[in-house]
Amino acid sequence: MSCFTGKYTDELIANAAYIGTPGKGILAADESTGTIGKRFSSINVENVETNRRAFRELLFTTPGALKYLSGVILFEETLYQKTADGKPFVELLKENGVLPGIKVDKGVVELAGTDGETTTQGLDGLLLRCQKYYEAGARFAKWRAVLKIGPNEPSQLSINENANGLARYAIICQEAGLVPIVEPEILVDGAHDIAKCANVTERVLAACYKALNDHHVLLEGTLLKPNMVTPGSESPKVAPEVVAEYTVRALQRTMPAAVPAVVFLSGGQSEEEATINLNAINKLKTKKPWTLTFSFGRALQQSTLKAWAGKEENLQKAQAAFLTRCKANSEATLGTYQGAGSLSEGASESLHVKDYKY
Amino acid sequence: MSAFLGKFSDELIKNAKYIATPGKGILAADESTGTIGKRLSSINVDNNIDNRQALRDLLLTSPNALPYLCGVIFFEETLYQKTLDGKPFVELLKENNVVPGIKVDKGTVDLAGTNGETTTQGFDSLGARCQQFYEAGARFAKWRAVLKIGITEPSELSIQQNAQGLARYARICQDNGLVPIVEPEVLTDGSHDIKKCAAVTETVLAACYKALNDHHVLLEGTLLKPNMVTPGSDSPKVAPEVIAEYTVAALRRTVPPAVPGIVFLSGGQSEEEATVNLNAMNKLEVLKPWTLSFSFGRALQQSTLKTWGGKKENVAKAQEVFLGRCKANSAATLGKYVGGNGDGLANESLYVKGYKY
Repeated sequence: MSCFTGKYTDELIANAAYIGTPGKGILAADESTGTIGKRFSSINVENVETNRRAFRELLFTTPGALKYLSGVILFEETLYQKTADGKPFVELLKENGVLPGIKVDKGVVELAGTDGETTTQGLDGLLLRCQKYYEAGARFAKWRAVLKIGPNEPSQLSINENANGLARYAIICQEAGLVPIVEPEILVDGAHDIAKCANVTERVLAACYKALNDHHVLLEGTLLKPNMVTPGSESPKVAPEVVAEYTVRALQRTMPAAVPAVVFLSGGQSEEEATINLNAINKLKTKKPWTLTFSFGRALQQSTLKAWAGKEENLQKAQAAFLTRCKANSEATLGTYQGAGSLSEGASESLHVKDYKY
Repeated sequence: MSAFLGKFSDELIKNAKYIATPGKGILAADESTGTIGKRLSSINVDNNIDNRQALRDLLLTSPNALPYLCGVIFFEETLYQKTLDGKPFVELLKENNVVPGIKVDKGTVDLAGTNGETTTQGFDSLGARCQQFYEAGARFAKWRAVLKIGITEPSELSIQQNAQGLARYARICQDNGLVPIVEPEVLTDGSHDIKKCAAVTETVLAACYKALNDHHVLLEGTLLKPNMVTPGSDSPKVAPEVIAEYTVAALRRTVPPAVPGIVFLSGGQSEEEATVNLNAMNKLEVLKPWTLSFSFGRALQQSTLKTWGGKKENVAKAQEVFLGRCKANSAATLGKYVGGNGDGLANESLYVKGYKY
């Protein structure tokens, strides 16, 4: 094998396969302190630790929701937090068959000489941090690389740097027993058409899998978190079936079957849009030797956030909204989503923020 | 799409898919004049144009054999030859739903500064030649890149050069309507174990698919012709199930699902060995998003050649032997081969150290 097989090999393979269980997906609740602050300010809630804890507790204790989730990505602070009753979040999740994950990157920095392109930092001391997170109960990790489409973008430098960064991160995670989610997000910003997005996505993914091979990463113990292939944010929308066709084809052309699952990011899509597209992807009749599921942040939490508005009396309403989205996306992974009869407030609201920074 | 879609896209996709039909495989009958000379001399037959025609006629007119084949790879001379009855080979194949293919590389040359590693030549006027071959009826092509395992081999240079060469060849083929078979053969020569072969095969295949992507090759209109993953020729053999496991794992890690079919080369394996290994792969219960079939030269022809011995009176018997191997390999692509289809000849190793076509 060209891949490294350390002491966690079997565990990595089992955990990655579990995350790809049909009918389940990932809740990305790993907003950094700064980013969750933006969410909170949109509902006039103070960005303090107790509120951050309360909101995540709201999500994790939603009755019936956890069975639709195979994993939850946490920010470092949250990994060590507990419910109001004193139960560690990690324990709560594990008891309910949900794997705790951890965001390990330290954000993006600009690549000098490019037109605003970035690379992602966080490799320093990463092995030790991952080992600590493993001890705290984490079993998978996430690292977000960001690329953009423009007249000269993504540049070869950006593609190479981000692919290499993802591969380095991935092998270090595996050395520490964490399944790495490989996330090369190509931003939706721009006026390009869907063919352009497909072209770029295929080039970026090909570079990623070459880098992963170079770095001896065990593909069976990884997951991919890509963007769906869509027109740019300033271009006319297309039907979900078209998104599905271009997206799956891009994956067929680049993603080896050894990878057990794809967990899509939602980008700026509304909750409903993301679910419908995921559903169309799973309905498509073509070769798909990997599970196709979700790793949604905004697209799982938006209407929940709005319903909560920071008030304890809204707890049930908010949890109902969250359960609805979890169930909807679970069905979408099986291609059985029928569409929402009546959408919660905010479910069809676009979540696109130009040049989005976490 | 990062793939370039020229005027032949639909045809390429259709032809590649057809060649990947379960139950069928490819007869590699593209031995160059020099190489077929070695085969013929092993049965004391003169290497002249008539004998070369006679051998290919024997194979292609074997009663009931063609249904087991989806394609035949020809050397240039043979593409323009006819049956003994005067029917162009290409026409005979087409009438029987067998796609004619053509070897387009011009052999290997040494890479200076390496320890006997090579790259493959054949780019000069390749586009024009492919066009001519298309007009003559060919619909797929083949180009053999060769890598070896050693202490410092394959080198990064060898991997890069051969991957780039395959990608450039593939793109030119597609520009001219030929489905490129991508063949990065990692030779079995050596005393390495199966794990080493797996590691090298995965590294080489990953480099190939990156290069194919860089060169805007339409993967749905290609096929892969890899080596099986086995221990080196100087190492103890392993069970077919082990070969199947390592081979399929290597392919799952590197070959995108967009590729419709994988057609294995037989390397130095005996006819029976190659069939049994192919069968084991198709029996393996693991997700395989491409068909797994054969593109055998020696492993389809060896005992047929011996049975013929160059004598007209042996033709019918030789054709029966050939039919036997075609049937056996067809069954192997479906995981249904029960073995024992062949006498001692089928079990004879075909390994030649440092094998050159």
